[in-house]
Amino acid sequence: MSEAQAPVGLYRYDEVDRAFVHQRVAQFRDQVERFMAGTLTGDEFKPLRLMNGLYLQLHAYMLRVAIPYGVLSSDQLRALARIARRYDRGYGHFTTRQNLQYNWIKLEETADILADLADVDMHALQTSGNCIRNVTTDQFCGAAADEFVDPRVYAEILRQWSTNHPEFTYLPRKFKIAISGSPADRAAVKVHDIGLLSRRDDQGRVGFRVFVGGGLGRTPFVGKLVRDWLPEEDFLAYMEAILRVYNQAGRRDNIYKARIKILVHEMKLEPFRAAVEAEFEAIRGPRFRVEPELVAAIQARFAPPPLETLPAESPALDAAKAANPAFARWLVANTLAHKAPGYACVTLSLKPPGGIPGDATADQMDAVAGLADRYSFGEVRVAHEQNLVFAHVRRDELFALWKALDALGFATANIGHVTDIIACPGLDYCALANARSIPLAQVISTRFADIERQHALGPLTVNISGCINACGHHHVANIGVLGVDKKGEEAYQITIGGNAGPDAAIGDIIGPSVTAAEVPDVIESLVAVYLRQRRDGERFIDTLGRLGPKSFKEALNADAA
Amino acid sequence: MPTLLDHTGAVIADDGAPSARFTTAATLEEIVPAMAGNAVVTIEFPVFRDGRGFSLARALREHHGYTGAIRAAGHIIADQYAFLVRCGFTQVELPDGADPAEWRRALSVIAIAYQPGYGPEETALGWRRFGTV
Repeated sequence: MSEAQAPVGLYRYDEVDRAFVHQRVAQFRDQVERFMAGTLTGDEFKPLRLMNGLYLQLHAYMLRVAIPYGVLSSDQLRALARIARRYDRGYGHFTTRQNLQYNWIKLEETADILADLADVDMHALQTSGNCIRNVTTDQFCGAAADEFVDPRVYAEILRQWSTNHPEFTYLPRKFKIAISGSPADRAAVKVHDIGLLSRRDDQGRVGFRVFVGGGLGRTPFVGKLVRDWLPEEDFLAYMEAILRVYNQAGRRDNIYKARIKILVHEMKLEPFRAAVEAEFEAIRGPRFRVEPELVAAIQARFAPPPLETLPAESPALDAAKAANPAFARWLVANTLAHKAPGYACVTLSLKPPGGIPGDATADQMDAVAGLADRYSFGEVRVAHEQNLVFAHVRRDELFALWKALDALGFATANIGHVTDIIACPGLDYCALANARSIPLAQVISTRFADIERQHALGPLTVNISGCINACGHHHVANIGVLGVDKKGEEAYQITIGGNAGPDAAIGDIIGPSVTAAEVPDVIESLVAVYLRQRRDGERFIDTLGRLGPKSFKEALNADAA
Repeated sequence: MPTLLDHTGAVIADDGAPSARFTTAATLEEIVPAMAGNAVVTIEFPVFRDGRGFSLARALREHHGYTGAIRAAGHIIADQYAFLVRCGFTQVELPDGADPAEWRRALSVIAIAYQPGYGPEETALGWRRFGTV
């Protein structure tokens, strides 16, 4: 790939990176053969396949492809579409970790899929297993007006450092790192094993605020502040120190207590911090120092979009907006201010009324790739809310893009609203689930499909997890829905007050579990309380914060009686 | 006698040098005093998924200046061989029935690393990746 053709927005592989992913494919092929021949036991093969993204689900193997920090080129998206057609059932599923999953995969074809991925500088490495997983970040990185550090460069440094790490590949449990370059924290960093909030000091130098021990699952915690200022040059040494303390002291006797959040909780924050700082002091130095030259070299492999100098205002856009209320609503919900005048960030909703959150067919992927080439420099991002993003769209082309997306079914004006539901695969696919998530998301999104009503309700997040592992992030939703097993029947527990942003909070359970059929009515009751009680400008979460959960619970009990 | 390989994949003989044997559950406080009188520190993995052994070897090398042999034993798999070497192990005791050729193949299948480690790669390149393409 020549410099002139360098894809915008993502780290451009060099020959070493390319050789590495191909070596990993050869290694996996050999591992599959040894498993088939019986020289690797099933128990031994399992973590090896997991570290190549391959799960065994209820009905088939599932392959989770890494999309590092959620950025894809249009050519990579076309390759994902080809794989969906050739090896799966013609579709893929975008996940809350900015990855893509194929749900109908054969073990014997997996190495071929990995080779196809390697051909377009992609992989499925460390998307599962007890290792450092795909690093996630803000889907608007490098574009948002409120950003002060581009987190992709540091996410890429973390990706490289954590790839095939000799010491940290057999950790007590999985390990997730998220990094945000904006104070708005669209990456939910405080609910990750390590959360990094980028900062700059008064001289403009980059550093990080480090949170450790956040997470969802059966024991949700908001991450604790372990270090307020971590200079860029010590960034990896500190990660090594945290991981080493965890690898040695994290619990291995109980899978449910093995995450670092439990270690931090049981050790207590100060002793944990002291252990990390002691390790850090011992290893900090040239060996792990992140030199400015390294940061610059990685930065140089990210091609910036060739933005034009444009006027901030677009009369054509204003006219289209005035003439078309549906377009105007879409602008409000699905676009975000870009740092460059005349541009906007656009979110493509993968949550049409009655649709499956995060699903896209191969044809849709191809169509999105074509639109990305036309409108956003051939770059596509995956948001952890299971939507796609075009990060750099000219404001005077927004109307044309909106019409094209509408034809594809990706222009629902619901981003951040009640039907922009995050849902895990649930019992339709997952071996761990207690209850189905997808059909419930479809029912809720049908019930609340009226887009004018959604906008009248304002920003409101609803997330659904099919079990306590919380892949659907229900804990941090304004209204969270958790699938539980109630004497062999599927049931759902409702939480309210969760928040994934800078004021991260875990929701409160509001009563006994309900049936799937009752969930939309419960949401209706909750929003009715909000509409009765809200003051000017208050979002659902603000009214709830002001009143507390009690009045919402009471209304629910009254409605149920 | 179990087969012993060194950090390059070569079969070596156990020369009977004094050895102290620990499991991955041992603490550095227990292991460090044993370094002085022993030419070999053996760390036994009760199960291959128990990654504590990797950190123990690195800590012996990095923080305690241990330059003698560190031997991995117990339940380890060929796919961990390169990781063991890169964490400072210099010998592996193969499980019963293991094929040394398979272990040698596993050692060399990945020639690239993205982070500093210990072993023969140590003299190559800079921070970002060691080993040769």
